[in-house]
Amino acid sequence: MTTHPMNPVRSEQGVALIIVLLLLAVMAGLTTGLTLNGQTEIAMAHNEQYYAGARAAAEAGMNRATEQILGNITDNLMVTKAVPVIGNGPFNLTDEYSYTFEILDDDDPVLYGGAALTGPGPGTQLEAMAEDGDPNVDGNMRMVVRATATGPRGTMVTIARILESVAIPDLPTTTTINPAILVNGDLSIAGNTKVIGTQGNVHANEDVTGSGGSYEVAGNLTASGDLIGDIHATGLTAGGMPPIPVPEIKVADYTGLATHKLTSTGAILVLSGGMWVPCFGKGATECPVGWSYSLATNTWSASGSMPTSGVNKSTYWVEGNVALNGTGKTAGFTQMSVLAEGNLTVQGNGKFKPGNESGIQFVTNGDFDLSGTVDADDSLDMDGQILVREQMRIAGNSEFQGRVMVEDRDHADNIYNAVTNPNGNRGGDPLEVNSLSGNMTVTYNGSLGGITVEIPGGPDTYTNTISGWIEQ
Amino acid sequence: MSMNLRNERGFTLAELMVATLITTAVLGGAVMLTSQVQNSFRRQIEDSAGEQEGRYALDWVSRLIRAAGNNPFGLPVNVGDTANCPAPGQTYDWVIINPLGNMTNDNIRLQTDANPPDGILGGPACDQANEDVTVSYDPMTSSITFLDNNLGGAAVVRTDAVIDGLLFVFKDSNRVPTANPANVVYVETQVTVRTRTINPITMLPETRLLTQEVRLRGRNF
Repeated sequence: MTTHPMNPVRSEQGVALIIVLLLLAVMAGLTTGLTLNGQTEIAMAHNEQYYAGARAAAEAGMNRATEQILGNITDNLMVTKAVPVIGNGPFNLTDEYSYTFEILDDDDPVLYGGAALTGPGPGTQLEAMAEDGDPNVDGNMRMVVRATATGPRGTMVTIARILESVAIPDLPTTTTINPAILVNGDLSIAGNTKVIGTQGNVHANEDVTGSGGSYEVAGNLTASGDLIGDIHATGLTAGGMPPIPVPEIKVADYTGLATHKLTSTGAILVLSGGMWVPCFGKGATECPVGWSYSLATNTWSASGSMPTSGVNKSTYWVEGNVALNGTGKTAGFTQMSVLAEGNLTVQGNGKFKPGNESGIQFVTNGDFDLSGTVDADDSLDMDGQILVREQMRIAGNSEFQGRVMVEDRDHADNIYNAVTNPNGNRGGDPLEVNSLSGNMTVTYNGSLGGITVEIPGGPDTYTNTISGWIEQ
Repeated sequence: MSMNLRNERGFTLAELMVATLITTAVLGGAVMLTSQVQNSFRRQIEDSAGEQEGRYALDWVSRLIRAAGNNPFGLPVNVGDTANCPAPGQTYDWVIINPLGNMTNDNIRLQTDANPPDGILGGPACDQANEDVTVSYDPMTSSITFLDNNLGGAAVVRTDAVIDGLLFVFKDSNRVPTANPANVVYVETQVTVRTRTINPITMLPETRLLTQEVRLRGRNF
């Protein structure tokens, strides 16, 4: 029997080790492969998750922007290029997701990766879009709203919609207003003042201050400024109304109506053959009686019976102040008008009707003060006019039929100078405010016609619509 | 010496046969179990892959449907106007039902002025992508195909060969099915995916129906 030199036990031990190592290597390889595959799957799942989250964020942002844009009518989005109220962000939904907005003209190259659209010219994109290629000039009232959402790992989703914004201009309009009292400044109204008639309207281009509940305005009581204090009227009471234009008031515009001229040298002239000639010695039919002149105060005064020229109607052009203190005719009205280049004061019990066919009753380059029981409201005659360059006061028991219009110039800028300010006030400054008080009554039935007022337009408003849906 | 003899004595035939039988039974059981587990795992992988493919298809098809009809310039400008892309005489319908005319709603044509929205469907040179596309089911390749009508060429397979069916259901604003393209507001896309494994019980491929309803947001309703 042959013996075996080899040791079979020792030689088989290494095989087991090798097999175990091989098995370990295979298992390690499988584990590595599975792990890598799993990681890839997880990354893919995360990408899907991030995309879905970012898309939801973009859509949420777009809905939010849409709501704000549709609710806005005041912003010109082509100019602001921002979502109204909330702006363009960024807005953080969570720590991971956020979104921003952009409003761009639809020919903005930014929308197309920086590439300009084709055109201009026939058949080009710009022509089809009615655009000019300038992202700051909107040619077709169309813009693009973009909501861009970002998520983890640089995930980005953009949704765009079309914004059409139509500007609606608030154009100026005109209206006609027919006031009895029109003051181009502040006005106070108090006492038992009555402004009545079919057009018994009062308007001040600045503030109106009312006192007490006894005054009466049959029409509207309005102001371009504020209504202060006790304000009431049968018609509309409103502040902040559009101002009513008051033309420049000056005697020079009405001197063509004059029949007599009372000069600053104390002379009384009468119009004869188109020339002013002294009336002295021409008799009562042409030369009025009752006037007296004070050189010291440059004031023409009439007391007692009103001056009459013997003719039915007289219009006096006075180169100074005028003070009427008479009692008027014992019967009927004195048909006289006064064009005073200074201040005009009417007191006493005079009864007046316009001394010209134009219905001009009193015009003054200075202040106008009507008080006493002056009566100038002959209801059988037409509406007259009182035109005042500076301030006015109507008080006492005076009555007037027609319109009172006050330019409300500041006296400091209205002092007469023959060279530099020939239409200025030749008198002083007795009044500084405009007031209606006492028991005065102004009746106006609108025969002088309305005054056209232009109401300026406001800023444009916008009608926005959002349409379409673009996912990029 | 006697020790060596006992150590070197082999198994008896009976012992070997019993051991072999037991080993075979154990290994056979293990192999069968492993095979079943492996088959199940593979089916799950295939099922998951198929569903993933179907969801991917739903995603990009829905995106196209959602943006269809984006028309900021009110094309056509005048009734009866026709476009020149992809060919003269093309009408603007935005949603065209069954453009292939194969009696089934497994295909759809979508138009949108969106890339960019410039008032020219397809652009001056008929080269604007994704403004006029056709999506259809191809039973030969069991896939969904995509054709950009402006760019031309042949339809491109966009999915793996796991699609068992495609159906578009067109609905109006009340979600009532309609055959009038002008009234279409919602489109429900139904994708049937099929795994590449055979169910051992039914001996048929596993299928799964995936659906998604999308509102045409590009349309001004």
